Amino acid sequence: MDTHESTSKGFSPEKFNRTIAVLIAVVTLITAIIAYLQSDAAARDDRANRDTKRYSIEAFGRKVSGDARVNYDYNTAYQNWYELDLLADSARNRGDDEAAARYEALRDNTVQLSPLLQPPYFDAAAGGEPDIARYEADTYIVEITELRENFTAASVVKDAWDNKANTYIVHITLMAVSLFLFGLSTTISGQQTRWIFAGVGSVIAMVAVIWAVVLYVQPVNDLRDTGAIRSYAQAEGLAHQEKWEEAIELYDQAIAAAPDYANAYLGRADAVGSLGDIEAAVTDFEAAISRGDKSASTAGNLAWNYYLLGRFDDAIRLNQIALQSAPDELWIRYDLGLAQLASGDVDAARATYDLGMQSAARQVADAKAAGSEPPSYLWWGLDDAALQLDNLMQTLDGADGAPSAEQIAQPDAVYEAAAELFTRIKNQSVSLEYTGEPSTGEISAVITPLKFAEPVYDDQGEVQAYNEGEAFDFGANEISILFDYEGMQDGQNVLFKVYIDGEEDPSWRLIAPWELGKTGSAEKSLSLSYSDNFVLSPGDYVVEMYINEHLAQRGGFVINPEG
Amino acid sequence: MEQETANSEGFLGTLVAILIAVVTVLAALITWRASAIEDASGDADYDGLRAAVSAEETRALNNVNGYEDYSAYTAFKRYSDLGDLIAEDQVSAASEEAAMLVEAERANAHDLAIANQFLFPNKFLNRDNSYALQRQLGEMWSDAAREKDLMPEAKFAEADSLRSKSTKMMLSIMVLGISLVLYSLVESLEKQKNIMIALGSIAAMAGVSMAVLIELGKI
Repeated sequence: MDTHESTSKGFSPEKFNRTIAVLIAVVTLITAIIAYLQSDAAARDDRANRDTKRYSIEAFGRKVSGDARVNYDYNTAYQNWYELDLLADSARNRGDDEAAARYEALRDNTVQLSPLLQPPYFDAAAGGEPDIARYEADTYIVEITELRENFTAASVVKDAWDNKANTYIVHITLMAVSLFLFGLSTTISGQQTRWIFAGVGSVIAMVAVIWAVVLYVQPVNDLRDTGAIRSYAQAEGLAHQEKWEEAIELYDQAIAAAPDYANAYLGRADAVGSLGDIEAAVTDFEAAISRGDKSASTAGNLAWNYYLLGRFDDAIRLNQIALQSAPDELWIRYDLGLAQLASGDVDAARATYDLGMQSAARQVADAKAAGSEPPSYLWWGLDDAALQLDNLMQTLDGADGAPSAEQIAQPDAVYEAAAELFTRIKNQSVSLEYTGEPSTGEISAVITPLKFAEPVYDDQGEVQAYNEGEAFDFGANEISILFDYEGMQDGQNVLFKVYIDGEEDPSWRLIAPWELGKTGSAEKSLSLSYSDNFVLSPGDYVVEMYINEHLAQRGGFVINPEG
Repeated sequence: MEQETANSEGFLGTLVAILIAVVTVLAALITWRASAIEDASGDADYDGLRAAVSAEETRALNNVNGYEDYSAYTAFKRYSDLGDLIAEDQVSAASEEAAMLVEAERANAHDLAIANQFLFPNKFLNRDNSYALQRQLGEMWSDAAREKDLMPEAKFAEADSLRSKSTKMMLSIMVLGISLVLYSLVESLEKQKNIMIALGSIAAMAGVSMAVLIELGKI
C-alpha cells in the first residue's frame, strides 16, 4: 500500500502526457520519413514496371520488323540472285552464251536490291551463300537480345522495389499502431496500464525504425546500369554467327561488369562447349545455376556435358532434377536414359526410354485430340535420342567419341540394349508422325543391306551399269540405292529418309506405296538429275528404309569434298 | 503575476493547438496533391505505353507491307530488265525463226513485268527505275503519326518528371513533420517555448514553401 502511494506521488500525469506528446510527434515525423521512402520505392517500382512493358513491346515489334526485312533480303533478293545465277550456269552448260550473259547481267543488277547481297555479307564474285547469320545479328538479333535482357533486368528491379515499397507499408502500419498505443496511454486512468501502452508503443516504433533502416540500406542492383547487357547482346550476336572466340571475349566482358549475370555464364558455356572445352562449359553451366538459373534447359545441358565427361552419376542426378520441372521434355528424358545406359544400368535405361516413348505418344495423342499438331521439338527429341544412341554404338565400335569407350560400363550389354532402343525409337518416331499411334508389331519382310551406286547411262539414257561404292567424288549428281527384298506386299507403306551429317533433310524423303511385288531386286534414286546444275553436296549420307513404319534397313555413303 | 503567467501559457497552448491543426491540414493537402500527381504520372505512363504499342505496330506493319511491295518490285524489275536485255539480243538473232523465238521471250518477260507492276505503289519508283523503299517506309510512318501518337519518349519523360514531383512532395511533408515535433515540444519545455514556436513555424513555412515551389515546378 505504501509502495503504491509513493509511486503515485512520484508520477505526474501532466509530465507523462507531455512526454507522450513529444513521442507522438517524433513517431509522426519518422512515419513521414518512411512514407517518403515508401513513395520513392513505389515510384521506382512503377518506373521499372513500365520499363518491362516497354521493352517487351519494343522487342516484339523489332522482331517482327526484322523478320520481315530479312525474309525479303534472303527469300526474295538472294533467291532472285541465286535463281539467276543458276539460270546463267544452265544456259552456259547448254552452250547458250547469249542467254547466259543476259542472266548474268540480271543477276548482277539484283545485288543493289539488298544490303545482304553486298559486302560484308556477300561476295557476289565468289558466289556461295550470303552470311545470313551476320546479317540477322546486325539487323535485329543484337537489338532484340538487348531489349529482352533489359526486360528481365527491369523485372528484377521492379520486384526489388515492389518488395521495398510493400515492406515500408508494413513499417508505416506498425508506426500507426505505435501512435495508437501512445494516444491510448494518455487517456487511460490506470498508471501501470499507461506505462505498458507507452512501453509497447515505443518497442513497436523502435522495431519498425530499425527494420526500415535495414531495408533502406539494402541496395537494389540494376543490371542495366552495368553495361553488361550490351556486351552480352553483342556476344549473342556473335554466337549466332558461330564466332565462338569473339563471343567468349564479350561474354567475359559482360561477366566482368556483372559477376552475377547468369545468362552470360550460360552463353559462355555454350560457346566454350562449341569449341570442345567441355570442362569449361561445365564450370560455366554450374556458375549459371548457382546464380539463379533454375531452368530445366540449363540443368539438362549441364547434365549432357557431365555425360560427355563420363560423369554419369552427376548426369543422372541433374537430368532427374530437370525432369522434375519439365517432365515432358523428351531430350532430357532420353539424355537421362542414355546416361543410365552408359553407366551400365541397362534396366533403368530401358525403363526411362519406355517412359520417353510413352510421353511422346501421349503428347501426340493430346495434340490430335485438341485438334492441333505436336511441336517440332518432339520430333527433334526422338531424332536426337536415336542419334545419341547411334553415336554411343559407334564409340563402342571403336570410333572416337565422348564419353570414351573405356568409360562405358558393361559395353556388350550396353551395345545390345542401345541397338534395340535405337530401332524402337526410330519406329516410334515414324509411326507417330504418319499414323499418330505408337509403333506396334513387327515386319516380316527381309531387306538386304543397302548398297549405293552411281548409275552409268548409255546414249539413249538407259542405265547400263552401277558403279557401287561407299564414297563418291564431288560432282556426283545421282546415287542409286540398291537392295534385294523378300516377303514384301504391294501397297505397304514404304518410306526412305535421308540424313546428311546426322541431320535429316526432309526434302529428300521418298514416300510411296510398294509396287514391286513380293520378292526381287530394287533400285531407288537419290537425284535431281534432270537439272543441268545439281550435284549432291559433300557429307556423310545415311539412308533409312521403313516398311509400314518399321525400320527395315539402314546404310550410308559419303560424298567427298570438292577438290 | 501568476495570473499573467497562467494567461500567457493558456494563450500559448491555444496557439500551438491551432498551429498543429493548421500544419496537419496543410500536410493533408500536400498529401492529396502528391497523390494526384502520382496518379497523373501513371496516366502519362499509360499514354507512353500506348504510344509504344502504336509505334511498334506501325513499324511492324510498315515493314511487312513495305517489303511485300518491294518483293513485287523485285519481280517487276527482274522481268523488266530481262525483257530489255532480250530486246538488245534480238538484233543478233541468227534466223527469222530464232528472232521470233527471242521476240516471244521478250514479250513474255515484259508481260510478267507488267503483271507485277500493279502489285506495288509505282509512285515510289525513282527516275532510274530503282525503288525508294526508305521513302515509302518514311511516308507510311508519317501518315500513321498524323493519326496516333508514335512518340512514347515524351510521355515517359513526363511520367518520370511527375513521379519525381510526387516524391518531392512527400519530402515537404517530412519538413512539416519537423514543425509538429517542435510544436509538441512547446508543451514539454519549461522555458524557450517561444523559440520552439518560432522554429516550428519556420519549419512549417519551409515545408509549405517547398511544396508550393515543387507544385510550380521551380524545384
